[in-house]
Amino acid sequence: MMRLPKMDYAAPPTLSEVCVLMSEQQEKAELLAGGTDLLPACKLRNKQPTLLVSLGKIPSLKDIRFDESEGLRIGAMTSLNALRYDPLAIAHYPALIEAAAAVGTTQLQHMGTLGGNICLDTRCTYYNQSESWRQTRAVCLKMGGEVCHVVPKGNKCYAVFSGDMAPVLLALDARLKLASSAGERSLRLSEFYSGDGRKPLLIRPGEILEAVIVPPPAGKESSAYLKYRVRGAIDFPLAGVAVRLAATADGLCRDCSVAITAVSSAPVQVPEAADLLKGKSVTAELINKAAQETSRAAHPVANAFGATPSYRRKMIGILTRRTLTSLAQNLGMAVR
Amino acid sequence: MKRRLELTVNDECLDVEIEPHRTLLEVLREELGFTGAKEGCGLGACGACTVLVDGAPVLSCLTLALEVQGKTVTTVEGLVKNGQPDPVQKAFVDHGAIQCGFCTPGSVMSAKALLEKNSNPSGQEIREALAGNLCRCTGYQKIIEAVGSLAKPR
Repeated sequence: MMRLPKMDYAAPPTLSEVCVLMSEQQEKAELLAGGTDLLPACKLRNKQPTLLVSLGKIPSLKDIRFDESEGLRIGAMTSLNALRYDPLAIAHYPALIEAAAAVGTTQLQHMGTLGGNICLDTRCTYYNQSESWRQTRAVCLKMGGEVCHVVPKGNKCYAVFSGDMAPVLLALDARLKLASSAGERSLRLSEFYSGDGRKPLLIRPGEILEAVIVPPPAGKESSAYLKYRVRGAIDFPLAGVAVRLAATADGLCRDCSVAITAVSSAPVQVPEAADLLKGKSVTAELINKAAQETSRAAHPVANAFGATPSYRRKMIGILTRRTLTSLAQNLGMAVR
Repeated sequence: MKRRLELTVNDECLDVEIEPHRTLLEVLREELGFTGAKEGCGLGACGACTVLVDGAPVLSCLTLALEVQGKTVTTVEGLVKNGQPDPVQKAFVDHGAIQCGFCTPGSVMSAKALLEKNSNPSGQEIREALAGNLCRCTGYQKIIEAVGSLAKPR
């Protein structure tokens, strides 16, 4: 049996008690949401916290509500399965549903949470391995060492961000609400990621992701998410593209947003691609140009099983073309 | 320090003293004697440890036991009622959807969760619901046929 290291456990009934505990314990404690990312890391001894602080006893973290002015507010502990079948999310944000349905498996969607997927740790073929496997090589940057086995002359960690929800939420311009014992703060999701594989989140010690706020859709718009992976289930993405597209009454592109995942240490927006379409009539030629721009923004390295970096980069372009084409058609915009 | 865990397993209220780092799978198998759920990968990719917690299919190898405090757990042992196998178990046997049997308890629980929620799943819905249960013997076709035989047109 693959065992967890000895750890203590607390499940405070309120968010303020969680905040106090996390600020007292700092690096020694880890927040436990669905556990599907954290517990494998503990079993592999990638992480060895002395205390797990569960968010499972705080029902308000599972609330979903929609407001015409604020948009959709989703509690961070909402399971991906609950989000996938939420009528409000289905009605307004198709890409959120597509991304939640693309995560792992049915079991992982029941366990995994939206907050957990946003805060997913970065991954690498040299990091997500057993302790004995890792001991055959020098300690890598992500484990606190000084070398990178993927980019040997590199001086940064290239571990890849592999969440499916973040690119969609970036394309939808979502905001995060963070709680701490010092108070609350709100920031755009695009300001949440560091781009450093070692420590991918710009979250402050003792801070807890409380909710995600997705702005209300404005007029005629839709969104889509496509994911490339080896198998049709279980796997993390090797490339992922999320697009939000809005149309004017006469069928031009009113607004567009493109975001990609699984090709660098953070999910990123690609304004260079989106800007090509804004205000224009969406043609096949323009879609191809946007796909090329998106592909150019992808910088995968050889740290994931299943496809080479150049193939993953090409797939970013192909997925961009497919999402843009189907969205434009669904919105009744002429694609010539 | 050991903690007290109270939970319902297969309609029986149980309590057990456990260390906080134990998983639900460890507690079911090693403390309570429910050895139906299996450890395959131990990391959440194979589904052999699938049990139902409050009706939802979850991976017991990645569930901290203390997280199911006060909840209801159903393992494959709990499907037998009055000595009779559950229709899902019977369908697996009738369709030869079992070879070595290691993935079977998990596959049966995933199928059970699907059918409780959706009494008439399509072939695609069956495949998706069982995509998290790896089977190295059957090639899946017989498992999908077994679950499909239970789909009831509305």
